[in-house]
Amino acid sequence: MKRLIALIACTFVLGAHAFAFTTTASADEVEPPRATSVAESRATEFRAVSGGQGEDVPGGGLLIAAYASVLVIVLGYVVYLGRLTTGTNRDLDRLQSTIDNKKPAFRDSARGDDGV
Amino acid sequence: MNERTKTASNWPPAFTGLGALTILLSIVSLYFIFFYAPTEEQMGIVQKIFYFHVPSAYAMYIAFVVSSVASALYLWKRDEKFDAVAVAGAEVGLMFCLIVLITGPIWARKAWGTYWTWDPRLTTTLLIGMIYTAFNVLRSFGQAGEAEKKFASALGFMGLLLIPVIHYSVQRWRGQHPTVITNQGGGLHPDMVPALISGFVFFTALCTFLIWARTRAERQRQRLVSLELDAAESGLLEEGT
Repeated sequence: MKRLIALIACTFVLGAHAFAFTTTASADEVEPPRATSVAESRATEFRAVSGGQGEDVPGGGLLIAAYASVLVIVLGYVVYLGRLTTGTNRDLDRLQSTIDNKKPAFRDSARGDDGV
Repeated sequence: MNERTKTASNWPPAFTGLGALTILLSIVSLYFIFFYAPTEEQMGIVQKIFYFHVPSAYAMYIAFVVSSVASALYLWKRDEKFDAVAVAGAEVGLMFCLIVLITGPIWARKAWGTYWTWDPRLTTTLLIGMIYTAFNVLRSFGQAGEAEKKFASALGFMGLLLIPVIHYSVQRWRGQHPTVITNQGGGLHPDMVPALISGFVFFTALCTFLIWARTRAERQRQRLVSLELDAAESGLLEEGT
């Protein structure tokens, strides 16, 4: 127990030092002139646009893909949780009925619920 | 329906209420994102990914911290309840990590012209995802013994050390990842703030709800394993099971 407390204390002390170091370092550093973007810093040539100007990457499709991904992942996880819970309960029922058939008194000793 | 099934299917009112609240918050959040927040000037409509991407990362932090603290408590107390919470936190956190690692590159395709770059924040997020993938894989190999539980708990606790590295990687190392909601740069337009705040509230509720549900499922599984072991030791499962 003492070792664990010492480990936790060391972790927080180191974490606090790391935090202080990062904040002071970022404050002390002289900020170099910020390049506004990688594209701008590397541009070597300018060309006039010809014809209509359009986006080469469609934003709407990407937005739909992102939100659809979130929906699929969350719903998928909820379905997985539902199946896990149902499956576990079914196994518990099956085991319980087996035990009840063989030894009714066993159930009383094994039962327990902590209300989580 | 026997006693055990009744116990499992009787969800506490607070849990049901939290589920309903989470659904309501998702609707409110989507309203603010798509009908209230203005379109961003430079990135256009794809910037709206930000309102789910950032809260997902925040929910990932919550879940991994919960898992790490529960892992440390399990190593200390050896109580199965903490082990169940640690498993739930790691699994839910990994789900949010997956959302972050999918929505981020989709946004980057438009903003940076590439899906992935080895930016410090992206790399450290991938690393913590791999740590908790290892945790989940370790725990998913059938019935975990005491040694596997202890090793996974230590791994989960180690993951906690990486969270500040991810968070401060943007400030400490130069990269391409935006720093819009820190004190650097111009920040958010005032009309975009409600969408982000509602996203944070929604993902906090979703994270809490999922951790709670997964913890209950894990506790049921622990009871099943315990009952199986007790029954086997008593010689009750020798035939017909």
